[in-house]
Amino acid sequence: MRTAYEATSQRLRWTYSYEELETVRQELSDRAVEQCRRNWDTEASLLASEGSANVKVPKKFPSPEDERLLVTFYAASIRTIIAEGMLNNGRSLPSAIEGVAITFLKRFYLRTSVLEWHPKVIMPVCLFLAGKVCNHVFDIDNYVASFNKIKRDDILGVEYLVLQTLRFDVIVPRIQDALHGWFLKLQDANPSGVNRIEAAYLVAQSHLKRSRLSDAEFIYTPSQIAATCFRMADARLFQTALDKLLPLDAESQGGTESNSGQQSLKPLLARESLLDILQHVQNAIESAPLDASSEMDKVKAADKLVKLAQDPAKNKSSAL
Amino acid sequence: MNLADQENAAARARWVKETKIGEGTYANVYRGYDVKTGQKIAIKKIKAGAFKDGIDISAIREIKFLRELSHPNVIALLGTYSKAQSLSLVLEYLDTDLEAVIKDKTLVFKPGDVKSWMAMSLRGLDFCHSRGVLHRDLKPNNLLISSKGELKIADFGLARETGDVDSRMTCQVVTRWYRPPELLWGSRSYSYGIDMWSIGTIFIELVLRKPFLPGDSDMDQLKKIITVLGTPTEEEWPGHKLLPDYVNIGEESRGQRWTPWIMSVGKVGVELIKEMLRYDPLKRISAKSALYHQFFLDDPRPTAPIKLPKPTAELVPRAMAPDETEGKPELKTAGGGVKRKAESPDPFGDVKKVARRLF
Repeated sequence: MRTAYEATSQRLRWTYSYEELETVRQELSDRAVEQCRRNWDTEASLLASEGSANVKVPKKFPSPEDERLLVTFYAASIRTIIAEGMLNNGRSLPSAIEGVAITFLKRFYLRTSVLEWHPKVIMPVCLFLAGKVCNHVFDIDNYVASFNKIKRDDILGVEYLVLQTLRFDVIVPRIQDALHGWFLKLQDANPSGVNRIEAAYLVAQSHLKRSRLSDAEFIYTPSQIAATCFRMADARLFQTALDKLLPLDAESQGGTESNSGQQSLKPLLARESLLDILQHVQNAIESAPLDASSEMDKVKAADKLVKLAQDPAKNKSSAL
Repeated sequence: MNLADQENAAARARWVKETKIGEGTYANVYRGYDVKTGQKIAIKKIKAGAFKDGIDISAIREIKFLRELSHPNVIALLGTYSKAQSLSLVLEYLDTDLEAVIKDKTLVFKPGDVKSWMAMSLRGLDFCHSRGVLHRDLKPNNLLISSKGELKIADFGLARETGDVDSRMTCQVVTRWYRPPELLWGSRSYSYGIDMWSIGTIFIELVLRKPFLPGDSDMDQLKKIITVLGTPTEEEWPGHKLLPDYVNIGEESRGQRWTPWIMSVGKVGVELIKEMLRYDPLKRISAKSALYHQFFLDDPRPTAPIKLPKPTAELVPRAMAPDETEGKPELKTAGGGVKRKAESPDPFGDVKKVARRLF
């Protein structure tokens, strides 16, 4: 029997190991670069046959790391747009929109290269769709007016493509709920320490925000990510909860099977493997940038690379 | 072509459309088959450009929940694809629905039959609720029946997830005759109880073979509920007078002696129905508890799905419910956005339009 989480589209279709994730991105990048190269070659030969030899075939193409930089930058910019209230139009937005939109954007680029669709184009569509999924339908005219140089068709014409690229999976398990669950659990374990728990909850929320810019959600469960955020916020506090949930001494297990050595090892192993996972999640979170501006120079360089390398077939002045 | 384009093209090739079995402004429905397995399917094609703000939210909701929910008593979404700004949902093909079964007066229901339909509805609903999904439009017309007699909950166009504490939900949901009193009084924060009320009224409809509380308007609906079940007391339902749209409905009613109408379900069956129709939503029985109710343990046993009565008349294409093809009626919200609400039957309007769907 599967748990409810194991039956979610996130677990079934959007969960990877580190290695798988790397392979997926490498293959995606290879495919897109090869396509670009082929088109550049055709472009060059077409122009040559027209007597013009002046084709700047790009020497360097963006790497998977360049792709990651760009996608992360646009993911972070979703947060800026929401925080600045650009889209409110008098109504407050459901708080879940931000996380859903960021996940959509990241998922989109597990199936599309930035060379095929630039995140500048896809990001507003993800946000628009995330609104609907969170029961908040943006008025299209007000919505496009909030952005620079975006027309109705830039959203409505791409909405189907985005939905399809997301494999029509639009429910995203809410890590913020898992974090709230740990908040309650910690209070259970530590009834007297409410102030400290509340302080830790605030810090944990900032770690959660950062985790959204990482790959954590593709690899770990919401509950593991939430636990890590709390542990990063206050390790000792988290330890007390762990002592209650996974007690080490056999007595508090109420176990009568002390004769079995394996049995007494169990809680220790369970705890070790949990802490091991949490450490991995922490590494993933800490590899993410703090916000949209923190990798600015690298992002600019990557963007330039993408612009130069972009498939000539997408350029209207091209010979193709 | 990105990866998704390729998959999408493959998906389109797999599903073959045959005949159109329903048409409307919101969607067309076709019968077809799966090239891979030969299985009969229904393709619901949502029309392009029908909505100002892009893909209709009902379609998004339907996809959103059906992609996650997989259960024998919930309609299966076999695939989804898009083509030139249109969206198609591939659903399992179902022969008929509970409304058609109820209305076919040549069929005789045995107590075990009613029990079987209720058990299947509750299993499907319990699954939805355990995944945090409110259906918000349960009615016989949305409980579809397969050729093997299995009942499946369909139409998630009004469904939504619970647990979102910071948002108020609309009270304009659930087709009127099946709508609980808390929604009629404008409650904006409700939960699983609303679906259970609908199930209770459907239970009675299965016995009476006609709608239990067919209100002509929202106000009339409240009146009918109170005339039959009695005016709720503060003790029965604490705080109900504080609901946003609370209005006092005329004189105090002590209710009618309605249980003799449904004695064929037995004393224990009546007890279960009363638990489903509790005024206080918090005291209303849950789908899971209902499944463990003595009613389902007592004889007669629920009839095996394959042996359940089914309409004998040959199936002919007929009009779909208006909300199925024309979209839910629009509901303007303060910010200029559009939400959809449940269509309510209009007994003085075009009766033919409320016919059942074919899938």
